[in-house]
Amino acid sequence: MTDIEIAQEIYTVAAFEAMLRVGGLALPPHRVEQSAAGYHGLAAGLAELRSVALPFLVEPPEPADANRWIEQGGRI
Amino acid sequence: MTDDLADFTASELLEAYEAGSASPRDAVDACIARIEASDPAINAVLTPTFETAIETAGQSAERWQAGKARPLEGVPYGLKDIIATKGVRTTGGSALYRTWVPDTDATLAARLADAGGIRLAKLHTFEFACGGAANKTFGPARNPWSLDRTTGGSSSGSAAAVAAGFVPIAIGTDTGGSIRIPAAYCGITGLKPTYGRVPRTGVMGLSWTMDHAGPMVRSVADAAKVLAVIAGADGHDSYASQRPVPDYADSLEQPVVGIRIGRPAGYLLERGHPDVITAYEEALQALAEAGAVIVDVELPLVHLSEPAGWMIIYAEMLSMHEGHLVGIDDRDEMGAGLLARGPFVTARDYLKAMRFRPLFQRSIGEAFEDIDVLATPGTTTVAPLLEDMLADVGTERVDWLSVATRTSLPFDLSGQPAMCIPCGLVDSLPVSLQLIGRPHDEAGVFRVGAAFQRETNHHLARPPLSLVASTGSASYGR
Repeated sequence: MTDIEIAQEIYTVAAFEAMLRVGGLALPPHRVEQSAAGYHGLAAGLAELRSVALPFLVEPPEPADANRWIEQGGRI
Repeated sequence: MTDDLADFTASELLEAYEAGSASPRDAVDACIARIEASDPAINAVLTPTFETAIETAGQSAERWQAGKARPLEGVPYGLKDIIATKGVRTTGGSALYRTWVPDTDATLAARLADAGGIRLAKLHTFEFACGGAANKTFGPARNPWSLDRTTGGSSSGSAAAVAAGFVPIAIGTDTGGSIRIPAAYCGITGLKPTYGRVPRTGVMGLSWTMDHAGPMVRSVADAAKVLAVIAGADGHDSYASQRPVPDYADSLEQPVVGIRIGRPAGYLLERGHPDVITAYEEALQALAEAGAVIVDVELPLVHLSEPAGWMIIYAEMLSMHEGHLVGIDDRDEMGAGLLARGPFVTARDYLKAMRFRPLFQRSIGEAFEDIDVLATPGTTTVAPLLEDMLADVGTERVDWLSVATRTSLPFDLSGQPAMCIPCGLVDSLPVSLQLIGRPHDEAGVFRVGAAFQRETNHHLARPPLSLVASTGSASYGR
């Protein structure tokens, strides 16, 4: 099974309803279905994003690095 | 130059005031007349502030006469209605805030007033800057170039108002393209500045990592003037840049001979209508004829800006607007659909996107080692019809949002300055060129944009007002 197929299998209404319960949130059923469909559309890109290796050694990229890059005019 | 002051740029108005050939009151009257004639058809104005504008115009005239004019003295402007204004309702484009009156001004609103600008109106917006073109509370804003088409958004009223001659300056905000998309669809100049360049204090939040505010105007020179007024840290927005604000005017007259302009391939040009892509290529050719060097560049990670950007927006939007999950079906459709995706962003995916962001920036930085400015189409299609909101990519008509944000979202994620300028008409509808610079190099973007507007007349095109002149009466912000 490919990463995309795995991702698409994960984005089911049942899985999303469980995530809502865990998060203590509620949505109308049609919004859950709509969201699951939306994630299906993003699944390939999201699977590829998840596969990007982000190291923890030496200089792990951290969110604040983005603002430093901007403040330094696009240079590190 | 047209004789009607409503069609003047801010720079042209300032020149006219200085020469004594027009007064701020003349300009305010011309803009009010244009709004009253055309806004019933366009619906860009949610709350007019004409009385205070007329009063302020008198004070501006006195300042001109006393030789104490400020940078935008007497120039009318409008604000997207997610920007707080003291004593004037700020609706967020939502029924929930239809009567909310802030007790303080947003930083940028105060700065425009302090610079002598005259606020003429609060302007239409997609609900909470994401709700979609079909606004349940205020109706849709209509594109002055074709009333059956969307302005784009979410800075819908800002783009329509500038295009239609209601105001020469409007302020918009941009999280995934909300300044640049409507600027492109409505044929005006729209700048998303560098992330943090303009403080967002007093602006309703959507996604703190991605939110920007910036000018929507009729020329690059005006964008530079407005940015100089609204930029700079305010001590409140934690992400505001501490860098000093440069004098952008210096960049406007510089030639582009030898300037290296990057032309990407792949993702940023895919899913585009062939005629829109042709207009983009012709714009690059015009810049080449002015002496710029066009360089093909690779942006190997740019396609991942789409999942990364949306993960960040969904998660932060939920954090900002969690209270709106209750009664979500009362919210406007597009925003409700986006908000409903928030609960399903895992910590893993949000943090992956946030940690991917610097990698993406470095990848772009490598491309910028060989170029000064990157150029893409502003949007890859013309404005969709309001009735279906489908974008025509030539071979098919597809959901507009994924296509419209394709060239804009990457640079919200990278935080680079990006400006859309008109580059022609396709089927009598505006199309646009986007110029992207290094972070905090708005001057470089202005330099190329100003050169393009010296070499071409696309920014001078105005919508045919015969289409929008109305016999109806205004009923602002029902």
